[in-house]
Amino acid sequence: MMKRRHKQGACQILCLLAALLAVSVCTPIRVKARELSEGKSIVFLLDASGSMKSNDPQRLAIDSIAQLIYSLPSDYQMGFVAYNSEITANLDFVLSDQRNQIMEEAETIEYIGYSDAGTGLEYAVGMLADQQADEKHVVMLSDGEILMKDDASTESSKQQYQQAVQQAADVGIRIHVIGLGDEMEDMNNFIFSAAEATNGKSFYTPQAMGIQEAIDSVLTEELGIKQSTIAIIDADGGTETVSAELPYTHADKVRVLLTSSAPITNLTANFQADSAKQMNGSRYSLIEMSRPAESKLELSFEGTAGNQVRINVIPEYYVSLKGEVAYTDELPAEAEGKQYYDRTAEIKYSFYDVENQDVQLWTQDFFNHTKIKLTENGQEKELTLNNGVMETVCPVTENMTLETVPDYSDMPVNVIGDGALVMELEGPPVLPAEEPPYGLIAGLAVVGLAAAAIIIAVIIKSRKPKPVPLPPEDRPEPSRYSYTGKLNLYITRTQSGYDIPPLSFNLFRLPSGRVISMKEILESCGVKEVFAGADMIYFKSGANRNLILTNNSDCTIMKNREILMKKKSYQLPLEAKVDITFEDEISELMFQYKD
Amino acid sequence: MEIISQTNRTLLLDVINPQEQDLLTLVGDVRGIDSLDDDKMREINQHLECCSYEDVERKFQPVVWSFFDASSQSVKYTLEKPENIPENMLTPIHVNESENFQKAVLTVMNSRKAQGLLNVEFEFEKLLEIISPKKVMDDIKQVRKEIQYNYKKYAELEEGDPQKLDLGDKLNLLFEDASKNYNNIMAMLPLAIEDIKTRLLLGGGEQQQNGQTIVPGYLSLGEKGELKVLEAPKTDVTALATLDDNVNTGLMEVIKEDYQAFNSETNDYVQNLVVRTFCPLSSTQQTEIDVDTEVANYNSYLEFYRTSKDNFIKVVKPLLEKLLGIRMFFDQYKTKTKGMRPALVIANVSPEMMAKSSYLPRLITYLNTTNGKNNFKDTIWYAIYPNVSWNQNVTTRIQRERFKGNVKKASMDVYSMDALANLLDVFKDYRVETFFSFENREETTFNAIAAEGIDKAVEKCAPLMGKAFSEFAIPVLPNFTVIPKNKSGVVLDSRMKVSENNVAELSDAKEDIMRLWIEGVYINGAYVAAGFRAACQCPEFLKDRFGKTKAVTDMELPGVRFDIEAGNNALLAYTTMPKEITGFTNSIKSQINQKNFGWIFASENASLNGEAVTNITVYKARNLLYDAEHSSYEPVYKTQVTTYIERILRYVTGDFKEDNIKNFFSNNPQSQKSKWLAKKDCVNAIITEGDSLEYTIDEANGVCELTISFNGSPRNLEVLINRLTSNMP
Repeated sequence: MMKRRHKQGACQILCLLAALLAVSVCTPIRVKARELSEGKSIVFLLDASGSMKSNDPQRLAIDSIAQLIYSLPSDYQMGFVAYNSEITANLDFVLSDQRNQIMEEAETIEYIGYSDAGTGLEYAVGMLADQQADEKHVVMLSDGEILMKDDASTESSKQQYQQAVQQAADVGIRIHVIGLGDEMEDMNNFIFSAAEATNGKSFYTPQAMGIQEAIDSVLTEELGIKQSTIAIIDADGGTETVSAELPYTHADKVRVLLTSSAPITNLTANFQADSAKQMNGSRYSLIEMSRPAESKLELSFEGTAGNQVRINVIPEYYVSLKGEVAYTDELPAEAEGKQYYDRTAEIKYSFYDVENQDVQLWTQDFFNHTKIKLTENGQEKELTLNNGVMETVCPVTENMTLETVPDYSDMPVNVIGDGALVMELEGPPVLPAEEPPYGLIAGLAVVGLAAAAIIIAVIIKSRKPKPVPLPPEDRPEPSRYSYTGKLNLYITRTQSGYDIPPLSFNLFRLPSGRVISMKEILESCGVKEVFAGADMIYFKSGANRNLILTNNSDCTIMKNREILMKKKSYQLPLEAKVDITFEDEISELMFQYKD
Repeated sequence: MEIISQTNRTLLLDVINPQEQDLLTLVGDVRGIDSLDDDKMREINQHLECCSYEDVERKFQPVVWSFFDASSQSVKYTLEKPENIPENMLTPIHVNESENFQKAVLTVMNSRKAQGLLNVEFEFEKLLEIISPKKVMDDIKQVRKEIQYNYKKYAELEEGDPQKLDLGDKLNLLFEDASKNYNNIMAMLPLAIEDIKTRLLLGGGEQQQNGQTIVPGYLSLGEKGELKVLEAPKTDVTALATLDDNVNTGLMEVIKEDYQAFNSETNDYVQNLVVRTFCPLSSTQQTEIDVDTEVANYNSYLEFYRTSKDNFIKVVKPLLEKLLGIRMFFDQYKTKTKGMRPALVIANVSPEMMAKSSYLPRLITYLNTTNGKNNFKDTIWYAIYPNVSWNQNVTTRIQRERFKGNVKKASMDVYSMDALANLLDVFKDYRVETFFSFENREETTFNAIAAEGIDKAVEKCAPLMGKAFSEFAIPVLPNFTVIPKNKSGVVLDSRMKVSENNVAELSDAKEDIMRLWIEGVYINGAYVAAGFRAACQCPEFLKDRFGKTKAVTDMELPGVRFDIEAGNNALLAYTTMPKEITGFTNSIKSQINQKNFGWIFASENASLNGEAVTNITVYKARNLLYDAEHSSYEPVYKTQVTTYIERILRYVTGDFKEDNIKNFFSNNPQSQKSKWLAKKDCVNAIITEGDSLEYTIDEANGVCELTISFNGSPRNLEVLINRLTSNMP
């Protein structure tokens, strides 16, 4: 806080008051129209030549497509191409909810014929080249060199392949190659060259079982997909049960992917979500939950004895960044020649669900201390998330526009953001030109206020002798009577908009000397919502089975059409019904005192 | 019954018509108030209280909204009025007795009741044909016959003749009826279908034409005496036909004019169709028939009719099932003289909504007004919570759908056990006994219970057991079957085809038979159970049922203590529902008896004094309060007797004044207890032989403890003594 040594004492007090008043003033925030990113596009390119029959007799490659496509967040558009002597299957880009079409297409594929990787890659690159996307990838799975019926065709295909690689490199498409089988053992193989030339990654797996692992690496290392493994289970052929706490409340989607090298059957899942769907292949199963309501997930399934089943969770959030600004104005340390206060904007960033702007995200412990990078007008910062909020300060010398661009890449979940946040920050107020006689004004104001307070106190005292006012800061004195009955509580409105089921709180279990606040009651009922002022509404036991309610808060409390006065105590008989509107003027609650 | 005039007012927790008023809206904001004022209560009763089924139809106007969807070229139906569609594009279809589907279902119910046949014996398909175009036409034929008869008489009379005016009134009514058909295209479809059929097949069906055109003719003798059928000359007009034509021409003009008055955009085809339908005797008026077009029209009309009827039935069925339930609620009360007539307050709001914390205070305030006063006119004694979800867990089981199976019922009309528990927690405070039954499906019918027993139901009720409110939860089993799923096919008609001779004929091919499936119509047991129990409260009802026995019914007492399970009571007082199956096996019955669970209906062969009981009887009448000592659930009557005694005690003792309590239980012949004891042999005695009513006063705590023993099994009730006038500490 500032100090002005050369001014009078009264003047300092008034300035201080003025500065404090300015602290809570917020400017209206204007959020820029949503700028959704163009999204990302990926094409899975599969070698469906006859040699795959021996390298992938169990058709695990098909399952790996499922593993890839169902693990990707919703902002990915997927395409699919398979080739042998020609293009045997292709599907243009589909949206997130149509991915099953790819699987339907993939399952029709037969491993047959020669291997014209040139045509295949050219087709895949062509698809992506026309696509408007922030990131473009090809994931190619092949078991060997290009081989056509004659040398000329082979050579032509190779040329095509090279041209496609060049085109990909030119337009920024990254090609990741998974090589399968003995023929691909040599990592300098012609097919792998595509990865090198386009800044992609090459993977080699001698057996089809390893495709799963390669896909995993593509997902996490190359595409930056956030997934967590909640269990790896050695199946014994019987029913396996898994129970897990998922900290992803309010996530837009949570995908649970079970993968194994052998069939998974009889999958049963218990959870609560707005909606859910499931897809299953012979060796994978996917449960996609939309807006899971609670964190508990229970799974049971039957694996094949001797095989491992891995359960991965891929959470996905649609996030809107919001900012709240408060200003602190201080007198400049060196006031000479300065016209304005020193103003600091304290900015609190928080994250909300795009669809339901009332739902704040990432308030759970799991997200605490997560670092999020952002740029404010081009200046990079790294802030820490605490109870869903990140705080920062920014000096403000004049009216300015602050553009904040978040970077969610360090979040442990997949995030689709709705773009930058733009806030208008108000410049500091002008310093007073001439100083009035503060001492005199302050003196008069203090005398006037004291006189008014005395008059009001006298009037109130003469009008309302009962009930007796309590010292404001005190909890009521404990009572000697025993508690009886219970409180039935009905939370009729909450700030978050969530419906809380009716609650019941047994009063008779409380020791007689206990004074309990509404906040404590709500907490003991497991209510996590905050009710402003609930901590200042007190209950204690009274005579004749009555309950004494004392309101020291600014909540509005009504009983029998009467507003119960602040800092007074009231007797509630059995069956009494009381309505409370809390200090935020939104949350409401009704309770009944029952036997 | 000077103190408590009724003990059977029932609250129905369901929606009938979302456009009409509902309990939550009418109660409104209750912040800071304990109860509702008398004006508000009057308003609620005006809108929601019904004393008969007709009342329900009048107050709630059950309706299905229909509109045409140009994108799918089909008719859409919905129970909730679509807000984004202009009013003039919406057609309300009132679900009342004149609505075809309801008419069909009611006919089925009435015929089955009259014939006393079991489900397995009854020919549902035949009666369901009522919804086929042919039957619709039959109804119209009757109307048009009356129109013609009256119009002919009307035309003959002179202007100014008072009789002509009377006939005018009659014709107005008949035209009003007929105009319902030509007012909307949907109603015209069956007409058009039958019209084409009549013109192309000459009403055929009875005789095969072998692909030849029929030419009307006369039977005559030839020159050589041979029998001949001569083709009737078109110009040959008899005097009678001319007269007919005069009448017809006039009538045709009237119908044309009426059609034009109703429709701003008239259409020649429809106009001619209306005229042909209502005035078919135009013997000298011939029109050319384009067989191919007409056959194509017929087939498309029939397909459209089938699809839209199918869609309609899918939408209206849940509503109809509710309405049938309400009808059966009232139907249980059949007496010669009306006494304590059951009343139904329809909340008209989803119980799920009502059970939300945000709305429960409104229900509490309402019940505080009805049940928290010493005025018992509006007291709610029972509630009906229908359609409890049979599947309670959200479980996804992954498996391949190898064959097309049942589409899983959307949870729209199914209510959860959680919401029921929330409501019961409130109802318990106001001592409202709640009848609930599971959703309508095969697993909840008599057939399923007979095959599988009640174990599943017991298991599903487990969340409501062992709770403070268990006493007020009455699970009702099974649901009633009006049309079984496997007998719910309706043949509408067959497609038509053009034969080689360019003659239209109905196709015999199996795939050309147009059929629609109703997929079963059921009634929730809770409606019938509540209706029956409500009826049993009325002394007149009990007197009617026990009239033939020596038992006396006291006309001043309600049937709160009437134990349907005792003696032969169930065979004397039974429901109005006809038997459905041959009965439960002995093992299922012993399972039910061993558990003594729920309100169970029985479809058993039984007779009393040589007279067969052909209706469904009540086999068990228990709530979910478990009596560990007797290893059984408690009979429902105990709860209601306790409630009744508490309410009478509160009233008579001026809110539990100590002196008055002592008087209440004293041996003075004028005391309430003595009055009840004097009537202990009556069918509807409050305290019967073997029961006792004792009290003790705990002076220290100011509490009066009542012990009501029902045949030795005690039930305790504690009331706080009102000591304002004396014994102040």
